Amino acid sequence: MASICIEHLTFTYPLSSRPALRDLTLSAEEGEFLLLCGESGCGKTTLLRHLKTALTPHGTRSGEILLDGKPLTEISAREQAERIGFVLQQPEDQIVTDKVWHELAFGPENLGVAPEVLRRRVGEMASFFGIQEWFDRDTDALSGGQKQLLNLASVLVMQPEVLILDEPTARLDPIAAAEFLRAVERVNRELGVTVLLSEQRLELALGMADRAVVLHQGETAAWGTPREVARRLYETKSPFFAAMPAAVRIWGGLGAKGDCPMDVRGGKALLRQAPPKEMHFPVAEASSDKPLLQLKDVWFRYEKNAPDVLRGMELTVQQGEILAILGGNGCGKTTALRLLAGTLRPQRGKITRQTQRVSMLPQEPTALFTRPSLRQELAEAEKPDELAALMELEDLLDRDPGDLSGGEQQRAAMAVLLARKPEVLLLDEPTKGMDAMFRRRFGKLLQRLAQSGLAIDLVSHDVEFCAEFAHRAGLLFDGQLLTEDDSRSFFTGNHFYTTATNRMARQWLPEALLCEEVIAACQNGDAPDSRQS
Amino acid sequence: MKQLHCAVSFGFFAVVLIVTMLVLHPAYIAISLLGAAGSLAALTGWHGLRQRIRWVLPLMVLTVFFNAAFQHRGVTALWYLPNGNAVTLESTVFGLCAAGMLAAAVLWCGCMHQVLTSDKLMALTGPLLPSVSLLFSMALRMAPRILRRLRETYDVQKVLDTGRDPVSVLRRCIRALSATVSWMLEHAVVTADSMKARGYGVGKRTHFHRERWGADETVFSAALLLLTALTLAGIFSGSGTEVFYPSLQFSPPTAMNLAAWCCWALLCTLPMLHIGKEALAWRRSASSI
Repeated sequence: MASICIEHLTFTYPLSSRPALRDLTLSAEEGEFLLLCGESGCGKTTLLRHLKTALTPHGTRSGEILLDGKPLTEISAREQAERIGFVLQQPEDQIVTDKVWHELAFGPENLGVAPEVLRRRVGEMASFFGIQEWFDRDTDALSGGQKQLLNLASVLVMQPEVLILDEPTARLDPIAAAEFLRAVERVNRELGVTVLLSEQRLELALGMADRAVVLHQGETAAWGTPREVARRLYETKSPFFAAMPAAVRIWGGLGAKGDCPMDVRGGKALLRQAPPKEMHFPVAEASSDKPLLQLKDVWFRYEKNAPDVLRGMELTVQQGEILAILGGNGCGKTTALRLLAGTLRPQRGKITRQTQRVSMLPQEPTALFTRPSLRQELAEAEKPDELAALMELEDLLDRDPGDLSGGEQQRAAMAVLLARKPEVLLLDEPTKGMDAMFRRRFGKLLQRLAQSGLAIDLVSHDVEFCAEFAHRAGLLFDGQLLTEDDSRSFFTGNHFYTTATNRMARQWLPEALLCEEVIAACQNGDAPDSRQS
Repeated sequence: MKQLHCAVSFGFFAVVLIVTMLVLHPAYIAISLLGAAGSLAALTGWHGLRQRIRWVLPLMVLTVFFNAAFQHRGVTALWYLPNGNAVTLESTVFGLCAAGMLAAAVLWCGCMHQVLTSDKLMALTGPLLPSVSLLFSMALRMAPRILRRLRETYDVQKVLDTGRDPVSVLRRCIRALSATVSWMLEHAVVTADSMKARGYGVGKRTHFHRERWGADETVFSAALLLLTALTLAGIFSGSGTEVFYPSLQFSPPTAMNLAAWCCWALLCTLPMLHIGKEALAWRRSASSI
């Protein structure tokens, strides 16, 4: 196994005045699990791409990167391909071939591994990850989580010493993401592979890592063990503290006493020491309740002989309200949204529309972009500059929307939709790929839009986001909206589909959903009115 | 049949298709047609065969009709068309044979489609043309994604721009197309990165495939070689000569010729024999559980 050392690395992209990485010094010991975090655009991807010469971006750089004490530039491409494994963010695009077994063999084939050896390696890897059940399938038929697992396996089949993962779970739902991270943890613990992982979602990853590094504008803002990092961020009052797991935030809110808990179990233990007082919290109310779109007893299936995706679904989208639909993968959330948008027609049932001005944000926001620059995309808006300011896009107006990062694309797509002055906004997984800080601002923006009379219907896996910002929430299961209630009753009534905070504090505060609420109850102050900004 | 090594099944289909297309003797055509239909039924069940026949039969009827109606060579007139041209026995028989040949070829191709799946084709081309084989695999990966993406972008544009007039529809199509093309380029960059990261281009590639050569393959290919040799010998010694014009002259069913036809018939039943053997082996093992 190998260690990686980064010494005084400074890097500037061409045509950019500000360096993307500034005098960065880091190291990962042999067999260590190093977590890299920071808001989007802080240089995580740039840094990770420097660790493999084939992927290093163009620009001016100084400083050195050492693999086992040897400069990376002196190690041949072949050796690098073998020793350093790299998993990228996009599960779909990384897959090269059409069959799962062929994809697993692709890397070793490139290295010229003899067929007998290859056969054995592929077999071993498929068994290690439990891929044998879908070994024969077309890669196209896999779910997102399976695709990313395949990407991991087809890198590991080359038996690398260092594994680098660049936000591998950004496009996955929470369950698939957790499964993926557990697989990475297994690789680290059982095979001893050195892991460098960059992540947006820290709830699980922070607890797994041996050490964590927080980047801010290309510099290290904090580093050390996860607990040290949490304390440092707390002490420097870093805005990035808001991205920490709920247990850490509650610990910080209560004055950062004692050891920092990392998960729900630890958070519960922390609360037990000084149980919060009983408290009631307000229920968020929508500004109006005029129904705009209604699904009545809607049935839908994609093909004649395929099973029904929706079976008698009832749903009302109301003016001035944020409605969140949750549910597992493939439960029909996106289908319901497409029916509301009118791109699909139900086989049975009725859809009543009070308005024709409906806009939909697809899961892949790039599907919305058809012009060469963002300014042209927004040309139809009445006040494009105001809109750009609203979505924090002023600096990006002249860029090609296709070149933006994931979170930026999401914002740009929202601007394009708002430019058409919709009355109903349908959002498919809007918080995918957003960092914690922008996610919060985005939630507030949705609340403002709802207050101004827009109806917003979002389908999402992001329980924390829905709990904080939605007025009403429902669980889609077995083709129907099972429970549907104001979001506080909905989430506090659930056992699993609820926020980490609720799971930590429900024993004392069954109604609490957010860290701030628990903190306020512990301090026995007034309930913060965080839901109505 | 599906489990056989791809080289063996490829060899079989090559021989059968070539003989079917080159020898228009009615006996050969009839045998080939029956063999193909039987093999397809054995591979896909009656349902698959019926589906195929549904469009092969009209094709056959059309071939016979056009040949009889527009080809007036031959000496035996059956009747006269209003424009004075004769419908001849010879051209009708030729039409029948050609239709049978077409149908047999289509059905054999149907069997081939079942047996030589994309990964088998790649295993076949891989050692000879490694980059072509990889390109083929990548194309198979891209095609469904591009179609899906086109559909998605079109739907999104339809929500944004609800017009139903042809101009709006055209505008939507163009936008969806352009968005899809730029999306493809965008995503190809990531795929290229992923290939580079896994060492594509650092040296000579090896080729991984899942084909195995066992006793079954040896027996099947021995039978294939023997029967092919006998069939070819039969054809070259005149058991499959056919002359349609000006009058019909086919090799008669002499003892020699009958023997040659039997060889061809055996060759055409090889898939059914192999599938039957597998089924028998399965039943025997299942009954011993």
